[in-house]
Amino acid sequence: MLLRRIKLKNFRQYYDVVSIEFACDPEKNVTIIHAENGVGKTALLNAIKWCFYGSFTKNFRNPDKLVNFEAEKEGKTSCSVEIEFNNDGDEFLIIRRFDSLGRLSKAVQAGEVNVYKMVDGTWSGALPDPELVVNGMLPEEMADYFFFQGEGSNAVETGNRGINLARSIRNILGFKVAESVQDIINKKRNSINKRIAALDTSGQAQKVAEDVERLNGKVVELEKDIARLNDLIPSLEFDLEMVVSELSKISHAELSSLSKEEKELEALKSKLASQVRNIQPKKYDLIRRFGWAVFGREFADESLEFIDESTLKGRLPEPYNKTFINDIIAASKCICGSDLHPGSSAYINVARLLEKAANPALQSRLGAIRSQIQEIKTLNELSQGTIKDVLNNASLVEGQLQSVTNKLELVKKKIKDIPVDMIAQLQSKKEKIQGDLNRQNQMLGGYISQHEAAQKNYESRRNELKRLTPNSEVLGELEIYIQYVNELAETLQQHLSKTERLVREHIASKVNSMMRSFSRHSYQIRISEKDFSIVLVNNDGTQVGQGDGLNLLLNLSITAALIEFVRERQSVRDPLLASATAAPLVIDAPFGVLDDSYRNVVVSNLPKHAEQVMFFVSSSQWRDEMDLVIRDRIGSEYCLVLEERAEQGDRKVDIFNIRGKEVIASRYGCERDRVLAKEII
Amino acid sequence: MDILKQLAAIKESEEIKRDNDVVFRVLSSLIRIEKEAMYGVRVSNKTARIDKIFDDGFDRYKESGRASSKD
Repeated sequence: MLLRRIKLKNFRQYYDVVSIEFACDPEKNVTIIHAENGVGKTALLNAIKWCFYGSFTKNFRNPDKLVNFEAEKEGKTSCSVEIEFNNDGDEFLIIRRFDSLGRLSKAVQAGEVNVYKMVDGTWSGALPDPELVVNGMLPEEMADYFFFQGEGSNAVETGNRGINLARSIRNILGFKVAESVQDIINKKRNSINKRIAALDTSGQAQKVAEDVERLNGKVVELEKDIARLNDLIPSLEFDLEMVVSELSKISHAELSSLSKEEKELEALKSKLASQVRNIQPKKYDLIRRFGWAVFGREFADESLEFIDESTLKGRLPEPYNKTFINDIIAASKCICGSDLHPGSSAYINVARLLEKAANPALQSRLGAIRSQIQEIKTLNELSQGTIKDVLNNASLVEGQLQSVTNKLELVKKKIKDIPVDMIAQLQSKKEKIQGDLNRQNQMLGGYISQHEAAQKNYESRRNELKRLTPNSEVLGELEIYIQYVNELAETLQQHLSKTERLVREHIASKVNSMMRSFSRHSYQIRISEKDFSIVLVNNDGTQVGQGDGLNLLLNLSITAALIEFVRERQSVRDPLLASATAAPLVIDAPFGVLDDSYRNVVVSNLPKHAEQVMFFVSSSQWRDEMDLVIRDRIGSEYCLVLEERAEQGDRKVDIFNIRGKEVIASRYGCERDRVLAKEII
Repeated sequence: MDILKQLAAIKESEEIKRDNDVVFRVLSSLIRIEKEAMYGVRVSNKTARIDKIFDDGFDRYKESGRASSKD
C-alpha cells in the first residue's frame, strides 16, 4: 500500500482544505513533516488512522471535537479526510466524513466511510463494504504498528503485548478469505450428505443426515469458539499481568514497604515507651534515696559553718573545758602551781574562763550533728554518678522515643496519601479478570472435550448413514464426492497451519536481526506460542526490564520485520492466501525516547525496510546529522505553519532551519486560527 | 534449512501444485471468488459459480486417480 495524498477538510485545526502529497518513489520514499509541538502532527496521524478505521490513537485528546472551530463559527457542521492510495497495483480513494448534526453510523465519531476504486481512469461507485475492503488490505489490529505514536502510545508503554500479533499475522496473510472458503466447503459437505440420505427410501437416513449436519455444524461452531477463546485467553492473561504489575507498583513497592516500616516502628515505639515507663520508678527511687542529700547539701554546708561559727568561735580549745576549769577553781590551785585565793584577781580570771571553756555535752551533740552533715555530703557525692547514669539513660530513651514517634507519623502520612481506593479497585479488577480467565479456561477445556465427542459422534453417524443408504452406483459417486470435499478441507487447513508456523519463525528471526541492527545490546526475543507476543530476554533467558526506549526499539523492530516480511511475501504467489499488503509506516514523534545514536540508526534503517515512510518531527527531534543520513531518500517535505488571530506579544516566532532555508512556522495577527501545510521545495 | 529457503521451496512446490493439483486448483478458484467478493467486486451467480468449481474439480479429481487411491 502506498499513500499518495491526503486532503483534510475542516478537520481539527486544519481549516478549509489542506493537502499533503506523500513521497511514493521507491528510491525517495520518505516524507518529512516538520511541526512544533501542539501544531498538528498528532492530528495528522489521527486523520490517517481515522480515515481508514474511524478510530484514534490512545493519546488523541477530545476526539469528539473533530470539526474545525473556525468552520463551526461559520455554521459548518462537518469535516472529512480523503486519502488516495495504491494497493497491489490498483488505485483507491477513501473518504470519511463526520457531521456533528448527523447520525451517519452506529459509532457517531466514526462518521461515514466510502471507498472508491479507479476503473479506466475514473473513480467507480462506492464499494459495498468499505470496512471489509480496508481490513482486507491492512487489518486494523496492525494499525498501531504502521500508524505509530513514538511517544506515550500504548505500543510504547506496554510493548507489543497489547496487540494480538498472532491474529494480526493471520489477517495479513488473508486467513479471513480462507476461513470463509472453509465455510463454503462445509456447506458443500452437508449438501452432499443430504443427497446421500435422499437415496434411502426408508426415511431413516434422512434423519441421520440431519444429525450429521447438526453435528458438523456443532463441530464447526466449537472450532470457532475454541479459536475465539484461544484469542481471548492471552488478552485476559495480558490484562491480568498489567493489573498485577500496577498493583505491585503501588502495593508492594510502597504500601507493603511502608506498612512493614510502620509495623516495625510501632514495635520499636512500644518497646521504647515501655523502657521510659521503667525508668520513671528509677527516677522516683533516686529522689527518695538521694533527694534529701541533694537538696540538703548546701543547707548542710551552711549549717556546719554556722554551728562552728556560733558554737566554737572564741571558745578555749580542749582540754580547757568546763570540768577542767571547775576542778582548778575547786582545788584553788592553778595548773602552774600557784595558789588561787577566792576573790583574788587570778581566781576571778580563772573563773571567767568558764564563760569560754569548751562544753563536752555540747561538743558531743555537735559531733553527732557534724557526722550527720558529713553523711549528707558523702551521700550527695555518691548520688552524683547514679543520678547521672539514670538521667542520661532516660534522656537517651526519651529522645529515641520522640524520633521514632516522628518517623511513625511520617510513615502514617505517606500511607494515608497512597490511593487505597485505587488499590481496592485494582484488586477487585484483578479478581474479576482472574475469575474470567479461570472461567474461559474451563470453558475452553469443555469445548475441547465437546469437540472431540462431537467429532466422534459425527464420524459414527456418518458410518450409520453409509450403512443405511443402498449400495448403488450413485451412492458410490457421492461417497467419492465426500472424500473429495474432505480432502479440500484438510488441504486448506494444513496449508494455513504450515504457513502460519513458518511465517512466525520467519518473523521471529527477522525481529532478532532487526534488534541486532538497532540495539547496542545482545538481547534475544522470546515468543509466546499462544498470542505470538514478543518479549526481550537476556542471554540467560531472563526477561529484560523494558523501559520506553527499549519498547520503542522492539516495536520498531517488529514493525520493520513485518514490513520486510510482507514485501518478501508479495513475491510468493500463494494461491490460497492473500499476497500481503505492506502498509506505509507513519511515525509521529518517532525519536522522543531514543538517544542520539539510536536515532541515526533508526532513521537510516527504517526507509530501507519499508516501502514508504513518513516521519512527523519537531525541531527538537530532528538533527542535522539525521537529515544528512536520510537526505537522499526524502521525496516530500512539509512544514506545518501555525496561524493565529492574536497578536504576537511576547511570544517568539518559531523558525525552522531546513538545510539552510528558514521557514517561519508561526504567524500572528492573522485572519483566523488555523494550520497550513507549506511544502519545502 | 534457512527459513527463507524453506519459503522459497514451498513457493516453488505450491506453484507446481497449483498448476497440476486438482485440489489446489479448486481451492484457489474458491479463494479467488471470495477475494473478489471481499474487494467489493460484485460476483454474479456466486453460488452457481462455486458449484461449477466444485463439480468441475470433482471430475478432474476422479480422472486424476486420487479417488481410488483413498479407498
